[in-house]
Amino acid sequence: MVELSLYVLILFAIAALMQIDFFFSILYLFFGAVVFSRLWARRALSHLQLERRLVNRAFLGEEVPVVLTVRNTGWLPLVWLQIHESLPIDLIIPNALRRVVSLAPRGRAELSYILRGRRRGYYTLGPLALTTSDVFGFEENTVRWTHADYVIVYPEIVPLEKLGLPSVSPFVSLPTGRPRLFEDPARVIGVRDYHAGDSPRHINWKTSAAAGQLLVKKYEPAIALDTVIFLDLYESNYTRRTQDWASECAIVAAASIANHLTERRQAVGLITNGRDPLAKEQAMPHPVPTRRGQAHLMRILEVLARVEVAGTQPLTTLLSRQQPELPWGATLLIIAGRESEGLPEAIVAARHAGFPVVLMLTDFRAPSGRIEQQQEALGVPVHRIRASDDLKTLFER
Amino acid sequence: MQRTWVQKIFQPAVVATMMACIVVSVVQLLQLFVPTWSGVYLTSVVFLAALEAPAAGRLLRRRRLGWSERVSFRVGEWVLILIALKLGSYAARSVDALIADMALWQEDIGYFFSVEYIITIGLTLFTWITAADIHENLADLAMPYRGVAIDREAIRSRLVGQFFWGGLMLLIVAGITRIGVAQILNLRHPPVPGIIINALLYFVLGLLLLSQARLMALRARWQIQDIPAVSDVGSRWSRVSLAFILLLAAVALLLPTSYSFSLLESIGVILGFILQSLHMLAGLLVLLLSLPLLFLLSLLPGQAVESPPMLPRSTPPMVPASPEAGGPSWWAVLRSLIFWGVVIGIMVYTLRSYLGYRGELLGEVRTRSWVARLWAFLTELWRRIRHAAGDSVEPLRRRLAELAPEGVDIGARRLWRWRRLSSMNPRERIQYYYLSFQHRGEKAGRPRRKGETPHEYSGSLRQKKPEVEPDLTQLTDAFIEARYSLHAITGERAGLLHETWNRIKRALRA
Repeated sequence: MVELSLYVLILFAIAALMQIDFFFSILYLFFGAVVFSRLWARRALSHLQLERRLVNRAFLGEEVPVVLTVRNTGWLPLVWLQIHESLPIDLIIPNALRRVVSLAPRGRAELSYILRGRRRGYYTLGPLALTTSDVFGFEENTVRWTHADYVIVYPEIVPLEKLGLPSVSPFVSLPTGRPRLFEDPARVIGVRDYHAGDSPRHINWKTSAAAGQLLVKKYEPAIALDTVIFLDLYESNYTRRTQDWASECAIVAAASIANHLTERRQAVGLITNGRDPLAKEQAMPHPVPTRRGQAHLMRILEVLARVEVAGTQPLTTLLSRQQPELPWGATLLIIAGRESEGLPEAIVAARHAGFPVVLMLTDFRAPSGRIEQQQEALGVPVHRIRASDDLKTLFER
Repeated sequence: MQRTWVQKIFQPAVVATMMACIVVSVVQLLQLFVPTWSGVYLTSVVFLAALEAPAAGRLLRRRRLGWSERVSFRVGEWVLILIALKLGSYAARSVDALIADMALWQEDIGYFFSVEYIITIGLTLFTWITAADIHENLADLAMPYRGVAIDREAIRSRLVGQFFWGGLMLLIVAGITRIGVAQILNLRHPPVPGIIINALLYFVLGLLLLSQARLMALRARWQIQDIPAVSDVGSRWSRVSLAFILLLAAVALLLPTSYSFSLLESIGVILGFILQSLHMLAGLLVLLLSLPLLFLLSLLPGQAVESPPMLPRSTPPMVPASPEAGGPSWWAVLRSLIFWGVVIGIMVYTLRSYLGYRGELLGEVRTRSWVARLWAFLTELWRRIRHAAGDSVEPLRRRLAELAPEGVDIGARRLWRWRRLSSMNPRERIQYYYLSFQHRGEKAGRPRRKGETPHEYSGSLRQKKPEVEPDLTQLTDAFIEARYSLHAITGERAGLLHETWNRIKRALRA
């Protein structure tokens, strides 16, 4: 551009020195070409509207068609516009959409691509870079559209037989005659802190107002069939070699069991120490309370879709912290890679507190621990989850 | 790579025409010294040579000849060109003249290389080399990746330089021709009017060529990066760039190129006009203020004053009207003002661009103590003026809105509304519809209470106006989306809501 400024100055000097009227016309033409073409390109970019249309939830293996619409709302044409959209490599290869379009005044272009849910997760689409220039190439401008849409790919749900679990009940070792307990809303026994997912009907407004924080009513327990899944995604509880495989297997097991229980109209909840990319400072996701129904299952699946292995909080700490908040008499289903240090003690404590416990281990390379060896004596059934061939291929991809 | 018709026909023709445009000016200059010089012949020769250069270059590239073969090819080519130039100069003369001259060449070879012939060779060689170089640059721009990175920006910059310096040469030669060689050092010569067609053609074609070169470079880039481009890029590019350049040329030709008044004179005329207007305004104000006073004075009882005796009327002598007496012509002032405005605009923009690209220079200038103080003073002054203007205008606007009669207010608001609506983006428009609905609801006796959510508010109105229930829901949903969402809101959505909003308004009015 410096050279162009210099050329304009030279033309001006020649026109002024020679005093030939027409030279000024040439100066205007050259100057106009330099200035207005640049202004055009800049202005045209500021009149672009973009929109992505997609269904942002998919099950594993499903296809998600995405339509990207680019609208030129201005009165100036955009002779070329390069679109570069960054996409997650787990959903599409190559991991970018790159096209060049030309937009008439008030025109629009539609670009479409298909994402394939090849791996569970929470994926963001974008950012999107738009590049154009004037017709002479004096200046090239790029703007970024930072609005990011997201796609959630739910974890795979498999029949329990594929995980090596009995299909009738994974909790086969539970004493069948023992009554299970649940909360009776007619009998309030106190209050506790509000957690996301608690029914607004259970909020004690007066006490909340007095305490300055939301509090919900605690009910006296009654007969229950609630199950709380404790999914251990603490980094140190997995061996480095099998971490990816075993953690994914644990997530699939959690999703499959949640689905299995929901189909049987049983209440299920989820507590995990994994990292949620959507949580503040990428902390742990909020515990999902025990509820019934498909909508609740989808909530669990969404958390399971997003959650990742992290070094946030050991499972034993999580168990002891969450225990007071759990519905009385609920079955604790612990899914972990291997028996971690302190877990037998934590399980015994839970048993003593009145919670039946079931342990599922996914790391097939991990040696048998104390609980597994003394499961009969402890009254804690232990299952080694056996991944099916499908699962194996899923994780090998 | 497949060559398009643009590369095969358009570019060689444009380059050849540009070369011919330069030579036309040179010929016109030469004709000042030798009036019998054949301009048509020289221009045609140059045009053909500029066409031949890229064709020969392509042939050489295609055959992939060795160095010695290339030299032999070029020597043979130029021998043919020289013979053709000589024979061509006899095209307008008879064969007898050729035969007679041939006899002279045998006696003395110096006759063969006449001054006219040598100048023709020189100009042909210059245009031939320049055309070949331009085509070489264009071919490099369009070349896809072949293992070696090509600095396309440098090539494009070279092309711009070739175009500019060629144009400058053309202008200087054309300028000397028009001013006259004797007057060239006289800086006080009168302005020279008129259009120089070949110069205009050169610059228009040059800009078109630069535009096509840009397209070629982009296509090569897309090909290298494997980015699919829609098919209509090329056609739209050609149409748009041609229209843009022609429009620019038309505007450039319409803008004033000279001035009747110097910059200071033009400013003086404008200031004079402003002062005169202020003077008139003040007079009018005094008159308006004195009218009630005069009326009151007329009501006071008093004795009639005897009027003095009338003096005999004298007739002033007639003064012959002078052309200056009527003041400056407004058209001339306007033209001068536009001219100076454009020139100052060009200077400021150029300086700003230069300093913008030399950021450190601008920073250094700003850090100089007196410049820094002046800069700080000016920015502070500007901030205060804006602040003061805002402070004084806002209460006035509010007061006017309060004072305006109801009917006038509605009309003015409607006008304002349409003006604003057209300039609003879809998100703002939806918010405007909702706020307007809320305003009308308030007028209809149901104001929105503090802390009431949009859904609660529309729910309460639904009970009053059940006939517009779906419309209320639609507008409220759209408002919440527009207010709290991050995704783009389409114009279509806002357009659909316009009717909904109208229906609600009608219902609330009823």
